[in-house]
Amino acid sequence: MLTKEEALIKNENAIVLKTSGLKKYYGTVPNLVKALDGIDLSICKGEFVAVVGTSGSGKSTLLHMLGGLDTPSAGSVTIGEVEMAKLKDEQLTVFRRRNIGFVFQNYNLVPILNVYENIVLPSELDGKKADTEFIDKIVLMLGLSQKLFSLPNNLSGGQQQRVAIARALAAKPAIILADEPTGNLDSCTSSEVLKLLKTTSKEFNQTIIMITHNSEIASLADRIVHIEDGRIVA
Amino acid sequence: MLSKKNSPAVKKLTGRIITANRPRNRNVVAAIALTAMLIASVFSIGMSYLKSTEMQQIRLMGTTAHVAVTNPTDEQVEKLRDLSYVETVGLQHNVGLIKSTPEMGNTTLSLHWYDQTEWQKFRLPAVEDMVGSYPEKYNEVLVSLWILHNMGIDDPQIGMEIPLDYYLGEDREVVQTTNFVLSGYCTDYVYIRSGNIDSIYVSEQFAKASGNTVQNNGAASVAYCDSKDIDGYNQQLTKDLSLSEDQKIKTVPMYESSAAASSTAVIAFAAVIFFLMLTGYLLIYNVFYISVAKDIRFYGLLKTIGTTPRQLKKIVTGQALRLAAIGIPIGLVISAVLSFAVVPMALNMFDLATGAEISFSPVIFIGAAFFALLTTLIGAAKSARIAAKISPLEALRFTGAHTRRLHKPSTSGGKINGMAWRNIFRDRKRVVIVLLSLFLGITTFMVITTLISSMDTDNYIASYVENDIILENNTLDVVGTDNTPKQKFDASFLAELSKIEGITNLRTTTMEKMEMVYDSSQFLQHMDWFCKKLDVEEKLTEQQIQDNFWGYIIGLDSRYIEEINKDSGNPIDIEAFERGDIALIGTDNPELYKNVDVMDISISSTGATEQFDLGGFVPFGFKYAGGSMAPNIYVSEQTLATLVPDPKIYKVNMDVENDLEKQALEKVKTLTDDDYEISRTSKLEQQQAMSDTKLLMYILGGGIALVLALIGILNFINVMATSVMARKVEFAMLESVGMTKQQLRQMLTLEGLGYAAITTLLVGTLGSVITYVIFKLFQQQADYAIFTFPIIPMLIAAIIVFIVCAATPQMAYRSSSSASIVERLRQI
Repeated sequence: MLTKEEALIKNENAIVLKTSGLKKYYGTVPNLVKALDGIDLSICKGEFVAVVGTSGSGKSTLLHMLGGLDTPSAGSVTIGEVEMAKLKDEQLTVFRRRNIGFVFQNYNLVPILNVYENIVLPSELDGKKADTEFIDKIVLMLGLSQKLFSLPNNLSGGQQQRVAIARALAAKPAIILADEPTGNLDSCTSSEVLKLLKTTSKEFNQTIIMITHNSEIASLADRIVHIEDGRIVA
Repeated sequence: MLSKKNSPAVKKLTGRIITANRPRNRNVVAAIALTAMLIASVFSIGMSYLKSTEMQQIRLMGTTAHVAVTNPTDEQVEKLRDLSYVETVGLQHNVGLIKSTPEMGNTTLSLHWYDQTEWQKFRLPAVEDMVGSYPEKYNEVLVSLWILHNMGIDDPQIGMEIPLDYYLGEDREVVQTTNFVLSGYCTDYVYIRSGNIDSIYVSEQFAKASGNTVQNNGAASVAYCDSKDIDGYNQQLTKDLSLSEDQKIKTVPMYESSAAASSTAVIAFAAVIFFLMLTGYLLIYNVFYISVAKDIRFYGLLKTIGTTPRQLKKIVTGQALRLAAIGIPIGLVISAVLSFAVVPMALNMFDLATGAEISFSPVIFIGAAFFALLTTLIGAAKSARIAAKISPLEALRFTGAHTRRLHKPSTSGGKINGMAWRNIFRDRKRVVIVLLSLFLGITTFMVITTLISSMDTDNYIASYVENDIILENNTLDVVGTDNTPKQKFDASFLAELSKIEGITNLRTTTMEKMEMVYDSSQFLQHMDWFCKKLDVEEKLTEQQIQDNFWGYIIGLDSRYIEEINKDSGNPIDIEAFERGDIALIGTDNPELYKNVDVMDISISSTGATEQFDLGGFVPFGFKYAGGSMAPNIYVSEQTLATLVPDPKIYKVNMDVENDLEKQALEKVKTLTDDDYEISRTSKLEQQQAMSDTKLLMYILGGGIALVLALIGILNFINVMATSVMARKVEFAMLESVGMTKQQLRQMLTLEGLGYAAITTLLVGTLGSVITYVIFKLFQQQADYAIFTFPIIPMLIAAIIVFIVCAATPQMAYRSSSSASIVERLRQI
């Protein structure tokens, strides 16, 4: 059964994620750093958005804010109808594992669990039985069938990133946040991973917000958001 | 609703984390095992100690009963047996009195009868080495071994004849003689407490025939259901039995102050357990904190992908629980092995015959397991909270080293000394934990070594045995006996004594009974004090006082006076003392005698009279404490010899040159053994008797002290090693900007030495104060303890601390610095 918020998120073409006046300042005057300085952004269901910007422009901070990993100095992030900053730590974690999948530049797999265990971990933590049929499908698509019982350390970078994508998809989240997912991969593997990410998200109707500084990669997206000095410039 | 469903994932993670952290697990398991072991060992050693002191008390009391009701009627006895709060009722009564003989020394023996319950339930548990049985036939008796020994029977046989002279009933005039038959013997200890008052036990038939009854000459011994509120039960009993005016409920002395004593013991135990838990907590906390801090990014990652704070907490405490499941049984097994195998083995190895009773009770182990588990959970709780609270982003940045904000800009910026000093105080929490664990460990080590060395049984003996060998003439104790004073230490005996090689400082003390003229204007205050001391309530007439105004005149060697003068601000005139012009009064309250100028006395045996001026005071009971209403007075030996020809020598004190003690004692023994009219006290024999106890204390106490000191040092190693590991990247950074490995090591060594210096300073000041305060508290229990500052243990501890502190950071660094700078820098 879906809660009200979850039902809304599943709804086609609705605005799934919204920020208004989002600010994040670090330090105090005179060393004040305005990592984010008033971001207003709305993203619809199923959209593939690329966030681009130079190093230090605030794009990673934005992604952290969207995923509820960090708290804003001002403004708000709303996913569905839930304002992230209003959730308590416990609720926030539960909300995150149900609705947001992360893909990091450095994969961030749990080193002590094998590939399959890594993929099903978020669902298991949620106390749900993994949807084996669905997971088989993802595994097949991502070409991980042969590696299910390997430990992350024994995989190549591309393979590890595919596991991370599988993990992000497995709990069927509405939103996938990807922070330079191809940053550590060679160009050939990069385009392969991206293609996979795009096909799977289309397949399962998921929203992707991806950070990159590679314009070629960004061009694959439905929309490009350009950030500079904590503001959206285009 | 979630917590039940998600357990498989949490369990899986917990299990995997444990398998991935083998070295840490070993540390945690060792810490938990150590805690469990220490708690269990302290419990079991403590219980053994309590048990054996309780047993000793019971033996001294001679009974396990709580109270006795005097002169109970048959109805009262019936009533007693029916009362719900009374567990056991035993009956006893006095049958007669044994006629005193000089061989018996100052002992008083009676004939006594116990019913079966009294003997089986109350008396038998308080005696040892029971052979034979309680008398059943008319003329059978049960006698304790010390009485048999005094009778000259050292090898008693059941069935042998024991002839006894005794008075029956109240009638002290008619002496009867019976050849009793020995039906049993045992070792009892009552006479130690009662001052050589004891009983020979007779059969029921004999008791009945004597005409004495429980109602007229006896008592009913009562054991209540529990010993917690003896006073309360006594009040209840007084009501329930409607006791008459003459009847009393007498509480066995052991229970009179038991409430206070046991609460002190409980507090002491609680303090020890608290301390053990604290040290255990520090260890476990450390290892967990370090482990979580090291894996903080991992926990942050788990949180990012959806592990809730509650689940993270469960993962950390779950690890603690699983490790406790291994560590606690190990600790308990080690403790069991220690208390059942090693300690007795060590005791055997040193040939100790004390038969230290090792108490075993499952409660000890359950309790130890519980406290160890509690310690583990508390120790892990903080780390669990840290893991739960971590924000995923912070986890990515976490380095484990917080720096205080305020830094004085300094011109000596890059100096290694300054860096080392600042590094010490960089993480306040770490400083506190390191210093606290080192400080606690070393201080406990000091406290325990101080207590053990102050408890030295030689001090104990020296505190009450004034000379190496002391001989006493038993025939001069005339009160309550029909002893005739004899000159046991005549000139030839003394000549023999002084011939023994090594004997020095031989002094004799003579003593005669004397009567003093009572003058109320002089001695009123003395009599007030006397009546108060002996609880004399009725008003004594002058005549009554004069009739009993006798005491002893004691002839002292002048050397005693010289020694007293040394410590006195008001010296005694030795010349006048030797001339016989003055006499001294034995008292601890000289102000009672400020009206006394002269004393008129007459010697009882010769009737010679003399008048002495009061010339000063010696402590009450100096050389001899007996007497009657008059104060005992002290004159010089030669003065007493002028009043009485050949005054009786009561005491011979002598010292023995070092290294000759043993052979001198043997020779004195051959002179005095088999003579029951002479009693002997010697330092050497007492020391031998207590050497077992001394060794036992060194083994047990020293072991505990060492373990506690080790915990402190282990903790330090632990924290230091991990702090160096955590700063790996920082060191790589320092190297990359030009600090040589040599300089780095120098800095680390300085850091370690800084910790060592601070610890030593703390232990030397605060630790010494704590040691002294604890010693003072302890001294209230054992007043013979002498404070000796534990200089050597402290020096050893300081040296070890310095070595460990200087070496640990280096070793930790060496093991982490093998990789190249770049590799190490990338590990961030």
